[in-house]
Amino acid sequence: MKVLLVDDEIEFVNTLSNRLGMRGIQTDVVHDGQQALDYVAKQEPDVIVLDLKMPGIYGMEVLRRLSKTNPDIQVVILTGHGTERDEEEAQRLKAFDYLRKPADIDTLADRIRGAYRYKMEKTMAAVAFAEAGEFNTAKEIAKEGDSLKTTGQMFKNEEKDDE
Amino acid sequence: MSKAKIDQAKPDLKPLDVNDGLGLRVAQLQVLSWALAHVTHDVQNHLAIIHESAGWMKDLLKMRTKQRFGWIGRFFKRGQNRRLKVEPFFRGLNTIQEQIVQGSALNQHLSCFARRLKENEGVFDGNKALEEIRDILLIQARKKGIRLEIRLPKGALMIETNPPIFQLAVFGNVEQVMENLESGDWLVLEAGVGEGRFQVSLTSPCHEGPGRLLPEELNGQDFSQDIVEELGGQIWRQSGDGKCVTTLAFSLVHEEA
Repeated sequence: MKVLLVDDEIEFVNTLSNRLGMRGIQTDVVHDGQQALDYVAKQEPDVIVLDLKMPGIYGMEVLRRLSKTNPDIQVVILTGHGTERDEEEAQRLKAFDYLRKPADIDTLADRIRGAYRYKMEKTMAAVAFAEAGEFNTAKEIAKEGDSLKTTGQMFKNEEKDDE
Repeated sequence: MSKAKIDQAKPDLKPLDVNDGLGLRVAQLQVLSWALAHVTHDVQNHLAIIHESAGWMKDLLKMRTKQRFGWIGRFFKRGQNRRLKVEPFFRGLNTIQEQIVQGSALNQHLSCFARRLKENEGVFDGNKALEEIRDILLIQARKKGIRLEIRLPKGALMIETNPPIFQLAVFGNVEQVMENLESGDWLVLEAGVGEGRFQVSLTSPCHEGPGRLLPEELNGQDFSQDIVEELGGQIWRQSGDGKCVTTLAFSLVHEEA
C-alpha cells in the first residue's frame, strides 16, 4: 500500500507519519498542494491523506484535479478548519472520508486501510466484470463506472498480448 | 434546488447599511471575524501538534516497555521496587489528549462562528448556527453563575436570514435575560419547530422588584427586538407561574429535491 501524507505543518505530519509507520502503514510526506500533484505525476499512491488549508494550491483544488486525472486514488481529508461546505464539496468530489484534526490515530489508520481495501475491491470487481465478458475493452469498463485506470491498463496489455 | 416556504410569506429583509448603527456593527464584526478565523486556524494547528506528540510519546512508551532491554524499560526497572508503574504516564498523556480534543471542539465552534461573521443573508441551518455559539453562551453563563441548559433538536432546520446577525440576536437575548437573573438561577434555551416556524425560546425564573424590568416591559424598547425584526423574525415575551419566556421565531425554509 502506497500512502501519501500532504500537510504544511511539518512537525504534525512527520509525527503522524511515524505513528502510522508504527501501525504498519508506511507513508511518504509532502508539504503543499503542488508537491502533492508532482508526486502523483511520478508515482501514483493508493491513498492520500490531504489537508485542506495549505500554501499555494488549496487542498480542495488538489482533490478536484485528482478526481479528474487520477480518480482511482482514494483521498482521506484530514483538516482542522473544514466547514460544512468543504465537507459537502469533498463528498461531491468523491473523497473517501473526511476527518477533523486532531483525529484518533487508530481511526485514521483504519480509514486508510479501508480506503485501500475499497480501491482494491473496485479494481477486482472491474476485472471480474471484464472476465465475465460483460465488457469488451478497457474503454467500456471505464465508461461504465468510476475510472478504472489500473484495470484499463491491464486490459490494454492483455489486448496487446493477444495480438 | 427549488425552495418553498411554509407558514408565512417571505419577510421583507432590508439590506444592511453601514451608515446606520447596525450596519456599522456588522462591518466591525466582519473585520473581527477575519482576525478570529486566522487565530482559530493557528490554534487548531498547535492543538493538533500537541495531540499528535502526546500520542507519539504513548506509542514510544508502549513500544519501549515491551522491549526487554529498551532504555525506557531499564529506566522503569530502576524505580523503587525495580518496577516503576507506567500507568501514571499513560494517564497523564491520555489527559493531555482528552483536554486537547475538548479544547479543539471549542475552537472549532469558534472558528465556524468567525467564518459565519463573513456571511451575508442566505439559507442556513438555524440549529447548527446555535450549536456554534453553544460554548460561548455556556462560558458566559458560567461566569455569571447561571445554570444554562441548551436543548437543540436533531437534524437541520433551515431558515433564511443573515446568519451572524441571527447568532448575535440569540446571544443578545440570552445576555439580556441573564442580566435579569441572579447567580444560581437557571435558564433553558430550547430550539425547535413551533407553529410551523423555527423557534428559539429562553425560559427562566421571573424576578420582580425595584430596579428590575419585567420582561413584558422590555417589549418595543430593546436593541435585540430591533435586530430580530431586521432579520425578518418575530420576538415576544410572556410570563406566568413564576417563569419568563422569550421566544424568537423565524420562517422555515423547506428544501425540495
